[in-house]
Amino acid sequence: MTLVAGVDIGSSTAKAVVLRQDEILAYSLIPTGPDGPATAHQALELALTEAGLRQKDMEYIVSTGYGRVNVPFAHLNLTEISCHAKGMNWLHPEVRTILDVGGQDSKVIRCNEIGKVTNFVMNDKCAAGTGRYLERIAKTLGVTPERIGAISLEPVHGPLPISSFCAVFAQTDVLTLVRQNKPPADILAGACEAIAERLTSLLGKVGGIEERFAMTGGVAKNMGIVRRLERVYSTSIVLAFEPQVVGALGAALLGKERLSKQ
Amino acid sequence: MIVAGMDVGLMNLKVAILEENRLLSSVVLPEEGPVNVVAERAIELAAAKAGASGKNMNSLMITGSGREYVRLEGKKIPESLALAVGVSMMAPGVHTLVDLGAEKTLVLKCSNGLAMSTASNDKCAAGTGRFVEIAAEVLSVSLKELGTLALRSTGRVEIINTCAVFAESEIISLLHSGVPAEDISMGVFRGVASRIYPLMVRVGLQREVGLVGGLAGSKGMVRALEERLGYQVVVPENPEVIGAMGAAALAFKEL
Repeated sequence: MTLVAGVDIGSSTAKAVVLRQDEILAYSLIPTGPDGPATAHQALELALTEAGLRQKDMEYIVSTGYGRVNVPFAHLNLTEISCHAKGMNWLHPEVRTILDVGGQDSKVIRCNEIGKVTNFVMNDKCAAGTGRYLERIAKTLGVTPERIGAISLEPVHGPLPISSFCAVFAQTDVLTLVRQNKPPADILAGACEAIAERLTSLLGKVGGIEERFAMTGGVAKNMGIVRRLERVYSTSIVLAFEPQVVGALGAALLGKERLSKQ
Repeated sequence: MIVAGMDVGLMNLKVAILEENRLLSSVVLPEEGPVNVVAERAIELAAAKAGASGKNMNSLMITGSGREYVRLEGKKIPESLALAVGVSMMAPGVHTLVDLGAEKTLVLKCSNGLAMSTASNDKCAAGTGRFVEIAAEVLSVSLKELGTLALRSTGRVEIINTCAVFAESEIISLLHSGVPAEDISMGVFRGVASRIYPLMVRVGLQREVGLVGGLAGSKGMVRALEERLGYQVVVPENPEVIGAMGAAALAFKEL
């Protein structure tokens, strides 16, 4: 039984997946701290502990994500693009378009039936359309990020347009709306609309979606965004059992493949 | 003939009072509260400083991003017009003017009080005062202290991220890895300068280059811009009220 692990060090969250042959034994999710290697170690340890294993039991460890080069115990590091495609293909082989929206970047990955990447576009220069945009607004409203989606789907009067796509200026827009005593649900609805618009624009760069369409990353857990995108594309978006670990899972799977070739 | 010019910025409201072409007084008020209330107060304060009364203004001209919100008796004009006139009064040799505002950066090519072309950024916090403010917050210093810190920089630091949100994270990382605050501060101003530079090129960069707006008083900002250009930058006196002054001068012209 092959034992492998995948570690995905994102800008906001670090994830680890422990795989035994074709079974996910455990996974972990922790906030990424300023010390990359320490975060990587912690994420892996957490998953290993849950699986009742130790690092030396792992035959192969692959790292991916923003901080992938900072994982000293990894045998190999791979781009999150290939890892996401691989992970999603294993979980849902019908997926051809993956929208990954993380803390600090958003990307669109087009893949084929065997999980090979055929096209790719990314925004990592601007916080608009990333988890950061929402985090800042949530903070201004005193709402935890996990609750944004649900609240945004029940506006009192309707979404209040947030004219700024810039995460910094949007925060100022939101403050103004708060001072005008506008309902938080309406403000959040407006913020989610703004993000959905940015993401639609990004999807447009790869020519829109090809079914099935999946979302990964922390923002995939925001139903406010998911439902709005489903409306835009008249589709049902595929979500993994845990949207944030798809990259780490793919990394582990690619590690298993490497091992079998050795 | 006493005239007033008002510049309604995104954060601060400026008023300048002119007698003929002479600056009598100026006032800068943060826009805390309804803008009309702030506007009236600013005029009263500036008038009092000038030894006059707000009611004796012969004319008022209003400029700035927020001019449409002000309900006072006065003609409204775009910032580029006001700035071009203002800089021709205070620094006539300037042909490329950078107005670094709180949330907007406007660059204009000007000559003899006329704006020939403009380029601006008001969609993105990069290259605006907001970027610097965020950095100052992370470093737990005031805007002024940030400028002073930057001047003491000895090691070269570049902030790779243009985006203010990502730059904030980058600064935290740099601090965590022990990079001195002085060097980080200078890096911040460099980041702003490199975001402004393309705007200057777009309007047709021509010396002299002038800097106005709230950050013009920051020596760190001036140094970063001069470093990017390779030559000195002109900062006119009262750089924050150049727009208001230009508006007032235009009010006088109209009389």
